Amino acid sequence: MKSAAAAFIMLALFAGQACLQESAEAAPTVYNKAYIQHDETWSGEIRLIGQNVVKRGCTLTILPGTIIKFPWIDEDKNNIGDGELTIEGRIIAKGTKDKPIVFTSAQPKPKMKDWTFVQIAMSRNSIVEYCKFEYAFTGLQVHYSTGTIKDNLFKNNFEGMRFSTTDVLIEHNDFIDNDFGIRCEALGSRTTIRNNLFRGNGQTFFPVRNTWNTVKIYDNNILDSREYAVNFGLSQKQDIDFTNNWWGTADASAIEALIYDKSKDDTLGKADFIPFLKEPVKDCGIE
Amino acid sequence: MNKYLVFALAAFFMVLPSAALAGTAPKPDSWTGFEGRVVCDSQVFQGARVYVYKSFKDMLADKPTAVSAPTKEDGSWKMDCPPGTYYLAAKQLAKAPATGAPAAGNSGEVLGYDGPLSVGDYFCFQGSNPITAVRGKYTHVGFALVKYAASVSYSDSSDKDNGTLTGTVTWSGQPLKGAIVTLYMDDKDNFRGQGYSASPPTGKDGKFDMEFLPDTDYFLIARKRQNGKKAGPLKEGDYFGYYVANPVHVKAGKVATVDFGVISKAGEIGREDSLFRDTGTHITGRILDDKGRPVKGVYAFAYVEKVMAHKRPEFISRPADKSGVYVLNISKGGTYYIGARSRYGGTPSFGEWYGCYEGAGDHHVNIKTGQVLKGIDIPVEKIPQ
Repeated sequence: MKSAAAAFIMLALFAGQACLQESAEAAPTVYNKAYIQHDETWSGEIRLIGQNVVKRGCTLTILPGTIIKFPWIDEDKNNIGDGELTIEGRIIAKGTKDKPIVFTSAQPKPKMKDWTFVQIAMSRNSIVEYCKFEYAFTGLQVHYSTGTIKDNLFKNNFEGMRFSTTDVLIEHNDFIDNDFGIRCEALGSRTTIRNNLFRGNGQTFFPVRNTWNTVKIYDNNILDSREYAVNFGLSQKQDIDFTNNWWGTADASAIEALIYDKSKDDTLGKADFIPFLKEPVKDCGIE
Repeated sequence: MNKYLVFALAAFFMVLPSAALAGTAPKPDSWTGFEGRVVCDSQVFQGARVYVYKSFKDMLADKPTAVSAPTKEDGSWKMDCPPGTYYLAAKQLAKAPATGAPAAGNSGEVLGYDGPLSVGDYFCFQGSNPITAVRGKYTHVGFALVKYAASVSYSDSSDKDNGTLTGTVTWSGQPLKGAIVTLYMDDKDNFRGQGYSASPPTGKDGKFDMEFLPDTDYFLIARKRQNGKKAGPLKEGDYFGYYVANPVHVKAGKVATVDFGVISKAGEIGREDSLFRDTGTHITGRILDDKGRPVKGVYAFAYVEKVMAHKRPEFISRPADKSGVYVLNISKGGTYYIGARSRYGGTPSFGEWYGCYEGAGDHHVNIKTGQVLKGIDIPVEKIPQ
């Protein structure tokens, strides 16, 4: 009898512990305006409230299948959610095709600008692969950094990506239904943008100013831009090489109509798009 | 909320080695000329030129005897001038006059054009004019530009025999209360003294009105003394303005309306630039590389907004010394966001030193007016590529 009772108690304790573990795993980990000053690995569901910063010298690793949600707060009342993840150290966010990492709104009815951005700044060799960015002001901003941005989906953001002085590879990503696909002020950036699929963005490329020909943009499929495929900012005075991309048509005049540059405003630089591809690139977008 | 190129965009400056205006560099014992910095709305101003005239009459006629090279990223300028007394003005002309001879520097090299201001140009008449260049030194002259926002407008007046002058005195785009506008008929007293007439102090809307004026040209000078007095030398913190489109023709039967921007007087000739003057409220520390070694020549900056982008910082330091020490002079207490970089102006470039204070995730410090906040070290790295 005693042994039966002991076995029951043990079973109950074990069951209770298992239950606790299960509930602990299910509960999201919450960071509220955190300053993360050591290496961390994230998995499961993460909730980021306000500005959260990974300190210089620290590495944030995010495992496949992790979901990062940004609850709505708007302390500065600008109608853009304050949720933000800034990495001043290094980020290794490597999802898989079956288990992508998701950065998204925590709102029941999510919409564009529900959160601010994921930002990589002064980082070396950061990796962002098989991630999904949606409902942000900017899905991903990269400044003063090196790294790889590959096989990601940027959808329903105000800006898919934004970058400034960077040396990153942006390839095999899907940019879908953002107001701006990629916005940049690239200076001498040697960023390469290739084999990406752009579809349904308001303005697919928006070089605001000071983007030079050191940026390489080729072998992309650029389709169905709602306003312009390329829209030079008022201070974009330099020419930019857009040759060897597929614009959804093989008609040069139709492509030119998609581009706002020197051809429409003599004070702007020129988007060189000739030669252009006569058919879609086959291995564009997420692999 | 940071929807910005967070570290981006704003700007930082590097004081470049000063260069003689033109020609071969003079020997130290024969140095004579002027140097200084040009600012606008408390920010350094790149691309302006300093014009040197032998007389006020030459200034009105746009006939300089020398013109500086454009101010550098940090607003600095320097030029040689023979010993003598001159009138100095700083300008940024959006467009060079279509006609007219180029102004010549002291070497005879064509250095820049002078000409009448157009709306949208920037101008500053140095309130200490005339200024003397002394052998053996470069006399320091600071300028604070004011934008020529609008030309004088005229409307009909019920007083057909006299003219009326009205307008708004502004500082940094805001109406300035308590300013007195004085009219001078000429430059005989270098725009000092009582002048022909003076307005009552402006109200909180910055407006002034002067009636029963004879139909003629007037030079408009605005002053506001913090001590409330109507006379006496201007001091730190007082306001001064020389109307950018002087002289103004006041017409009988008309109301002449002017938009009169003034500057905050921040230092006499030879004293520190307003950007670097000792305010008594300091943030100081060292700028260090990733091995903790001091980095010389990098500039610290402070923003009042967390968004360190799209505009220049509110406060900047002189370059860090060989020990990496910097001093940021802050006008008043508050919360400031602190960083450092090699240059001033434009987006940071590859290889440039850059970093932010790491005592808080958003890089902020809190300081009280009159406080000296020490130990605010800023780690910097070169932007990787």
